[in-house]
Amino acid sequence: MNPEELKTLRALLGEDFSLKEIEEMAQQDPGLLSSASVLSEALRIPKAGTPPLSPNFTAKLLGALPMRSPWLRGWEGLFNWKSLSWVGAAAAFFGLAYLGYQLIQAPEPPIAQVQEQKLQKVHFRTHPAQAQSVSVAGDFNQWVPWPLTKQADGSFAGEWEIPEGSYAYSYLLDGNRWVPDEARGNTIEDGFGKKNTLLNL
Amino acid sequence: LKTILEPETAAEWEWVRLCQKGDREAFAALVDLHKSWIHAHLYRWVQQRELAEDMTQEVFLRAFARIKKFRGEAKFSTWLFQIALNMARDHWRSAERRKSDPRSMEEGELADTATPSAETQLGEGQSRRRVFGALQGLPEIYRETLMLRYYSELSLDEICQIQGQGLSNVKMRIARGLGHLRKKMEEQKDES
Repeated sequence: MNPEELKTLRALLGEDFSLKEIEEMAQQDPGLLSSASVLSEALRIPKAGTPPLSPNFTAKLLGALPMRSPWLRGWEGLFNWKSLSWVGAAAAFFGLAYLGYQLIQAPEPPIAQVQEQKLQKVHFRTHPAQAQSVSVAGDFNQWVPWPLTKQADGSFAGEWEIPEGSYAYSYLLDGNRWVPDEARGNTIEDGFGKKNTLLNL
Repeated sequence: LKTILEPETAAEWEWVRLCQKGDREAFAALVDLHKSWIHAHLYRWVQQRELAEDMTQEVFLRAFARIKKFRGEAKFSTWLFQIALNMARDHWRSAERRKSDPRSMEEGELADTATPSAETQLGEGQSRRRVFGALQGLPEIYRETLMLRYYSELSLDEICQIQGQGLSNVKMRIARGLGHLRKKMEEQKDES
């Protein structure tokens, strides 16, 4: 990577990223370098300014406060019909949103790849010591986690058809810890101080 | 923007303590101290003037309702920021469900902070809309991290604190999020 390219990517990422990390990113996603200046410019635009709040914002807010003390209001608020209707509406909304999310999460390989590449059934299984939820994410799903199902023995498993190819992936535990697939071995550095597992199909 | 890691003043602690006893004047003082920066973050996250103001009001109403539970484990500003971020998460999720088209956003909302030249104003408005629209379509973990990093201008340390993540995880989310964002913008370009 030449100094000009490095400068462009640094402008996008900031000084917090080391040169090694920036080079790793450029290698993993060559398109990022070509569009870094566009992204850098566009992401800077929202910093231009913020419209002011209404001059009477604080007065209006104080007028909207309940007359009684907040802790009493909290208890009373739970039992008035208006709050209940909001709670009901919110529960219905999030219930539907959750169902929608589950449908969206259903793994489907891209149509173009299905037509062009042979699919292979891949079984993922892991048994982490402490985890309430486990997902798998990698190059094959653009690192958008696919949830594994908890099994009776406490392990987590899932099976998907993935186009033939070579992919890096990791398990995501409880939505915040990335670990490689120890059962499959064959790990590679991810450029951020952690390891991914390499899957060759 | 105010950083969420800035320490509180002694006066602010006193206002919090008084507010927990139901003192409305102390609450008004806290509102005046924090309303501008909370509103600035919310405006950048939702990019709609009226909605950002309504959400700012709701943040403080929720804070007032829950302030007795605030024990001071986190800084008051961090606590407020978390309330605001939770509201923004709900908004992003509902916007995602509605699959709202960012092109339907009011032109006035998008142009009101742009720079003097009319041409620049139009160009920047379009870029803002394009980037903001693409961000709405990203998976949640990447969208939020990019919003915090680029729209709220938080440091990596601050994002780690807010998201409860390690530094390498946050860097990874930014790296992958930018990759997703670039692809989304290319898709939008192809569609148009």
